[in-house]
Amino acid sequence: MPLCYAARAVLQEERVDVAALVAEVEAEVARRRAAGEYPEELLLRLRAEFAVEDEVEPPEALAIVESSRPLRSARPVVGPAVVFGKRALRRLLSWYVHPAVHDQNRFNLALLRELRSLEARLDRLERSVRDDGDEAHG
Amino acid sequence: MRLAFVTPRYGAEILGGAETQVRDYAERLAAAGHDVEALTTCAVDHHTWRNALPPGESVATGVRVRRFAVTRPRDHALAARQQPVLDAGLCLGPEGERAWVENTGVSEPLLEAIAATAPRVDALLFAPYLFASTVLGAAVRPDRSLVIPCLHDEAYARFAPVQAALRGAAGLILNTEAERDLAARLLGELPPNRVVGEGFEPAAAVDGEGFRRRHRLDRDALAYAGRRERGKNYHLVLEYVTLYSRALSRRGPVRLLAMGGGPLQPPESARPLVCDLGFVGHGEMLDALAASLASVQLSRMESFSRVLMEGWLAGTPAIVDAGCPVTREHCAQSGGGVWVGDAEEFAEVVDRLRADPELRGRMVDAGRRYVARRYNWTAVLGRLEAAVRELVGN
Repeated sequence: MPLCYAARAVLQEERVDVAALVAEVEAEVARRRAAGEYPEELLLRLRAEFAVEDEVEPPEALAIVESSRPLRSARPVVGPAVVFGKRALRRLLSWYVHPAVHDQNRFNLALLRELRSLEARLDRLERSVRDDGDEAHG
Repeated sequence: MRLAFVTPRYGAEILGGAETQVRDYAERLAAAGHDVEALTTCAVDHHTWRNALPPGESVATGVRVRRFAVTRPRDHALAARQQPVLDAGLCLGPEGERAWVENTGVSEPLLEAIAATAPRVDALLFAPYLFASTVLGAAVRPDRSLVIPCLHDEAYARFAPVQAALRGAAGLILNTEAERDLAARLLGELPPNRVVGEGFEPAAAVDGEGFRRRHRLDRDALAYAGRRERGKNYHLVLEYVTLYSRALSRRGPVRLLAMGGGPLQPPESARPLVCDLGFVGHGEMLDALAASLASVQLSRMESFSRVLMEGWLAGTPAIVDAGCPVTREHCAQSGGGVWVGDAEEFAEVVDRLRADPELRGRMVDAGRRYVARRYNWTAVLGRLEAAVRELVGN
């Protein structure tokens, strides 16, 4: 490991020039990256483990709310009876739950349509501003 | 001076940074001969705001503590409705923001006590910025109210009632220049303010070698002390340590000494690298820091960051996130720590610290000098007393 970084010079003056040290670290990382010294495949695989929670599903995947989920019970012996009870309760409450879920889904989809339409409009405007700029420079 | 601190929770059992700071300030000012009291609630948990302690008066380390019951119980359903909206980066609207603030342990008797106390003290000091005791309390007598915001760049700091409380106060007592910059960015024109910071005792005796023996640490370690949650970027600490140990290191893997509690669990690949110490006492924390190559603090939600100072005092340099103005300011001004922008830079820094004990030692010395010069209690108390006198025009 070379120890010739800029910080070395100022260390003798009882100071650590951290900005210089950081600049050297950044330069070394850039050099190693350009030289392909990092095991990119391994890094990608490891990063994937930490990226799970960061992945944001597109709103389209989240827009439809399900009114029924699989029913389970972890309780031994009485588990099947618990599931049966939950199923019965779900059926009894369906007159209340289904319309509310239906309304929520209509709202989600309407909002999404508006969002996508605004996105398209913004794209058009950005393109138009860019084209005008190109013409002015041309 | 006669001073009253107002904080939603008070006591040695409260672990929050702002609460610790308030208690330190109150006890040190009382020891210096000032007449100091603390007004607080009976709650100890800022998630439930349950009245866990009895109301009434007591004395703790020279400070008269008056506790008042939380009178508006936490509306958990409201919190459950509002949090996803904030997490999605959306606004609650004026009504929602007021409701959010009023869902953080409102105590009407505390507000009445603030009104009754204001005429007989030189200043009321409120902390931290986001809870009802500060937002509603500082509005009772704004001309006597100084806020110690311990500000973070987060959604709550943009709430209209919160900003109104900060703008309306007689003054702000800030921890760092970087916190002042953040306050200016959020509030525009700032009320009169002073930068004070927190105080520390000189380095206590620490036993890093003993810690390594007790925990059978057979290789270099990095230390993390704090809440283990995404807001504090603990997931980044886990990621960087894992990537370093499994792919980037040129000097072998390291262990991570993880101190504190929180919901975030390491993924499979990180688990063997983490030595989970859980909640530890202050002495054990200092020993763990002393046993480490560096303390890693990648949080961007900092108004001061005590752990950096404690690391330097215990004899370990710091690695912080390049995107955190507060910790970066400490490192740049002290020379006791390095900031990194990604895992590769983190790896390069860790490799250099492992290869060069002299550099590491110089960084520790620089950090210690910085704490001793700027954050010794004599200097901090001097700045605090001057700030209170100047800001309330005493």
